[in-house]
Amino acid sequence: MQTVVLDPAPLASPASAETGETASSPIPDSGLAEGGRGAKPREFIAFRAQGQDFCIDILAVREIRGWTRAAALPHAPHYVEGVINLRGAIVPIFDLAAKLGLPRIREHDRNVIIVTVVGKRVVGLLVETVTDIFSAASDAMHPVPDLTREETHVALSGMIVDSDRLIRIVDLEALLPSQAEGG
Amino acid sequence: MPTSTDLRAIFFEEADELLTALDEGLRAMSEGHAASEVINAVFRAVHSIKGGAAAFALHDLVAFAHSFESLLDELRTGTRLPDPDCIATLIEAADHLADLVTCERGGTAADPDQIRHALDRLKAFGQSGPSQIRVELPFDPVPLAALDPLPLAFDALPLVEQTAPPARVSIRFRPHPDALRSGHEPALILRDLAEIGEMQVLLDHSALTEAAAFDPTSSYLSWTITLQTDRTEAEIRAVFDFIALHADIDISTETEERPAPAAADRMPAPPSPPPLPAPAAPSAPRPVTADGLRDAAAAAQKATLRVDVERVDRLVNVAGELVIHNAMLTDAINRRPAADPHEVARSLDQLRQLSRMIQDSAMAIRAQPVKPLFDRMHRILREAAAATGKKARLDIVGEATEVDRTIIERLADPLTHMVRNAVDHGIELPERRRAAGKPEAGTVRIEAQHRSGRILIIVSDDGGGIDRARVQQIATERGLIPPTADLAPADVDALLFLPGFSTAKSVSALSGRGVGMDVVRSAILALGGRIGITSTPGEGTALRISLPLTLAVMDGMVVRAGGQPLVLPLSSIVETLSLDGADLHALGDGGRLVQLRGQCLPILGVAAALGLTQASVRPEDQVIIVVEREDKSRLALIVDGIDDQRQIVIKSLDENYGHIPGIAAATVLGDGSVALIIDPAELVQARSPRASLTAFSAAAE
Repeated sequence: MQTVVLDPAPLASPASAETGETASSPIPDSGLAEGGRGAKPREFIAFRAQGQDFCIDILAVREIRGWTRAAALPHAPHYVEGVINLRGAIVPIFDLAAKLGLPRIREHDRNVIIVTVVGKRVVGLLVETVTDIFSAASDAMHPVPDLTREETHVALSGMIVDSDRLIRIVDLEALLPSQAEGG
Repeated sequence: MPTSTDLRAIFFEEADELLTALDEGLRAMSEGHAASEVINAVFRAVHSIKGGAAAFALHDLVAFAHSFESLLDELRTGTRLPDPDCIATLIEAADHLADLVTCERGGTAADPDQIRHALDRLKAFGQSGPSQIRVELPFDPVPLAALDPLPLAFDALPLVEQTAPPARVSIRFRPHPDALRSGHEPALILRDLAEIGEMQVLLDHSALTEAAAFDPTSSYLSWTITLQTDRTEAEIRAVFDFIALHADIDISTETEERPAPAAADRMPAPPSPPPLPAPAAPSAPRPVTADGLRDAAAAAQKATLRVDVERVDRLVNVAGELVIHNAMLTDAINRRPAADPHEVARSLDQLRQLSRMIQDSAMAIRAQPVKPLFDRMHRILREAAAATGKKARLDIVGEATEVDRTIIERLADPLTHMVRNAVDHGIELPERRRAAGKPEAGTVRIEAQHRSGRILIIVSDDGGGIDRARVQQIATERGLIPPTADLAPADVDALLFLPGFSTAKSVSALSGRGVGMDVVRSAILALGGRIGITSTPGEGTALRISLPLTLAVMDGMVVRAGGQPLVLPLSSIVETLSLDGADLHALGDGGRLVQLRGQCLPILGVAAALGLTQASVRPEDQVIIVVEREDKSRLALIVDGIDDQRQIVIKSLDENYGHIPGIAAATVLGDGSVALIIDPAELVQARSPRASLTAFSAAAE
């Protein structure tokens, strides 16, 4: 019998071709951890949720999508909106406002999903609108004051004062539910 | 050029096949088919392993294979007869050879005592034989590393010109900015140059401008090329013929002639292609070689799949057809707005057929026959029989049955357990068998067959069957069932699957420590399969395993609950009925039962069990779906409606999120939305840990 030798991995799950590439992409630290390394400005993508400005490192963003209804997940934390189909991969969506203890983002056609890469996982953030892209030097970043609530403290890794705005830096790692940490 | 790691992997892959062939041949011999072609096949297998091992300097393997081969050679030449004693020795040697191969593959050293023991046995047998006329041929393995690579010069110099030492030519090659626009490709020129000599290239990119001023159609690069060649300047210039009008070319031959040996020294020995510079201009994109190398290195460590070429061809053919069909369909929809709707519908129909064919062909690539897995059981059986002092033989039926590779891999352990169990607990000792009027040697039979989209594997023995009184006694002793339990024979048999159950009077080294059947059951369940046991006292026991053919696609029923679509695996569904008119009974606080043909089933609302919001569906519109768990206990699930029944592609949730109790995975429906796949067994456990009906299932919790 004439045979060819194949690598079975790509045959095993067609979806992994989609998400596989993310594993090798550099995962920037969204927080202040690298702040000491000179004042090289980093680029952030800024967005709004429940009237507050947030941002994440632009290198962690894979794409920005219009709103799609997510399928609810049983036994999930309250800030997990559900899962959506992103070209064949199942991607969980997190409600950023709910995670910070704010009211949930209201269902609206103009909501936006920011698809990000956290570790080896692809997750979506539900936000109201994406405002702009800006760059900030690391000396422009400030730590989150200790007075804030625990929930806020955990989910944010710092703040940036940009002209008259206060932009909160979201800690993507902290967004993942602890249940999923093992997976 | 394949690296030695690649070659090593191929050697072990082939060794596996050769060992299988060896086993097969020896088995045929033990059954009395000692024809010369059988002996030759066995000899060839051992000889090939020896040859391959020698190339990799695997000395233990070579030494043993050599002795093995010598013994086989005597058989081949007819100086020794294949009597049962001889065959037993050969089989033992084959097992040892397989062990050695496994050790070498894992990079672990085999136990030297064991090697010596096996070698001594083989040699002792060889000398005890009727013929002593044997010439020991000294065999020195030649390590691969010691072999000098053949000096294959890629520019194969004609012998006549060998006398003229290659000259060093320095070329400065600077394409004009408009070179690319007139269709020239500097990389091709460089490639041609590489063909006529040993080349070193220096890229000068100093002319590159700022990104803003960069014009991708202009050429900014220039090269300085040092060429070691025996060609004349005219020949070199000929390479530049086409681009001559669009580039500055300076060719200068170095005047002082180097002595030939020195020139030869400068040439790197391995015949590697000269490095081609990747032009930085975006007009000529080339794969980055560093990436390619990294990929190749990674690939060397990956598992590979041997696939019948015909299957790959089929997939490629269908994929090609799909592309054509896609164009046809686009045409049918676009070019004639008033196209016949029937034509579009027909075209869509064909498209669906094509995608089904692609899916099937893709699955066929991963499908492998169960034969290698089943064949491994011969050895397991042999060892188990030897350890227990029983006589047994293995019967294999349907070894050509194919199933997904992952399933085969994960089936190896459970199958090993089952075969060992069959020998250890199933088959009786020879005296008892004789007394019962059975042949002394018991038979263990492994059978595989396809049945309605699943694979059925039956492991049966012709032993004494399950001693039910004893099983029940042990289960009671261990507190697994209440002493008063009145169990049907089938329920008693099922007790064997309980965690921590073992009927062996003493814990034998062979069948594990009372974890056997429980582990087998969990392994099968993890594969999405089912396992059942049947037994007839005095006649034997049979384990039946039903497994899905693939782990990627399954048949499912799309239902609605809590306002969102969910999928139930079709394999678990027994029947569906309307809630309206069903024979319902309340049970305690909020519990409900449905009575169905004299059987009482507990009811579970799917939406409530998953914590989804209840949709306002009238109870009379709701549907009951009766599902069966692996242990045969049944459960009635309430859903808001049934939408569809179709094949679904299983998508992992764990990858990006994590495991959710009661949910097996997710899938994407036709409209692009996500539906979760329910795992009925887990759903039950999550909701009602103790809501069991029979004493058995209470114990199973």
